[in-house]
Amino acid sequence: MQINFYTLSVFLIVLGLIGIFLSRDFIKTLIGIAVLESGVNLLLISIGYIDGRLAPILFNDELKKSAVGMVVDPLPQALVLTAIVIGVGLLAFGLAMAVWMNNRFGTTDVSELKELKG
Amino acid sequence: MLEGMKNKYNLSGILASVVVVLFGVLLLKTLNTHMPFGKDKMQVAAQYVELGGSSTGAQNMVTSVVLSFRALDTLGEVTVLFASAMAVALLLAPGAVLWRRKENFVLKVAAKWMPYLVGLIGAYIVSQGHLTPGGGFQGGVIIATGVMIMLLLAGNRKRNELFLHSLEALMGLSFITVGIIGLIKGGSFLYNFLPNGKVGSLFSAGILPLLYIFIGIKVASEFVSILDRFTSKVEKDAD
Amino acid sequence: MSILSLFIIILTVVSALVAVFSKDRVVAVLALAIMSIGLTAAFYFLQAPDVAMAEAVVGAGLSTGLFLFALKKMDAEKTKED
Repeated sequence: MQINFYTLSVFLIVLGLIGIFLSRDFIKTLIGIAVLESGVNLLLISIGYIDGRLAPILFNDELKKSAVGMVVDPLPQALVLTAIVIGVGLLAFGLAMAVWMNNRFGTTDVSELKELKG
Repeated sequence: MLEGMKNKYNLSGILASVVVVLFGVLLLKTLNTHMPFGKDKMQVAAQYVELGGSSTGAQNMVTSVVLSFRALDTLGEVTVLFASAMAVALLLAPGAVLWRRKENFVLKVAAKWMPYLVGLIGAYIVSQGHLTPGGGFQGGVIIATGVMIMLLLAGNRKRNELFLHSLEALMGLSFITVGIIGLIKGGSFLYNFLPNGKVGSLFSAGILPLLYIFIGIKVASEFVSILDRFTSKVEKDAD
Repeated sequence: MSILSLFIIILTVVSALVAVFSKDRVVAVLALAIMSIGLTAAFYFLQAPDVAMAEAVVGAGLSTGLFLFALKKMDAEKTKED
């Protein structure tokens, strides 16, 4: 098994999922979601990486003429840019829910949410 | 899963974790076999790289993908951020007072000049989004982080919520208006109707810097309103 | 380059483990910030400067700030300090 950025991203995805499954506190669930989302973003960028090529910015005249064989894939970078900002929007909403839950029930332990039971 | 959490050892959670680890091993094997790390896999993006510099005029190719080739996805993301800011505004009550804290010398000195310096850096990154790495999203978040220091200290402040919300709505409206002008002039939504200019100069790449300025102000005002809700509390009246 | 990327991988792995398995909430949030810094360096080595800048401002600035403000707000309501 080779150690490259694929192993790191799959490790982060698995760790984030385990964090979501084994957490009683809602804040730890949000931390698991953040780790999972970081892992997925890293996986997308490492799929787009090509050995020996440069970042997709045309900074000298030779690149401005034709950049075909010389730059890394710019499409996953654009999509991951969107995904990172959406992730922080999701985190803001999750934290607002945690604060509201604390005001209503006095705790963030999710096993105390018993109002719909039985 | 809620039933299992009552015990000390969360049995269903541990079973789910074992399944996830097996899934992870399988995923890693598939990735290393079918998409080897570092080999050339560009299919759609090969065309974007060929056309990128000449068809939009932007020096930063990621900007030309975000705002020209895939501009509809950016519109979707702007909508998701708007929904998230509205959700936070619905859930948390608007407070008027900040919780009292001990006077901190470093914070007091920093809050005098830091928002302006950080705002200047953010404005630079927003306006040069088509030349250097950066753009509307990064610069907008930088501006909001600069204002965050001021929010920590502004004790009994007048909150101008109407200004923040109307600024954010106005910027979203301008984004869509530019898109509709492109629809009228060129036949497709968000068509690039301003001249392209020379690749690498400040006034180049058509409508791309304009769109990034709208997005930067919108993101900054959204995150300032979200942070404002988080750092204020309601004065409880005595019964 | 290989030694440096190995160091970044180890830093990210250790801070992610601390973030998920720690009992103290503040320690977990700070470990999340360190994981974001490791991820920023990883994005830089994968030749993606735009994404590295976005991850740096969001992960180490706004996300950590939001977590700490929310934790402070929950504690302030609980102990009813004025």
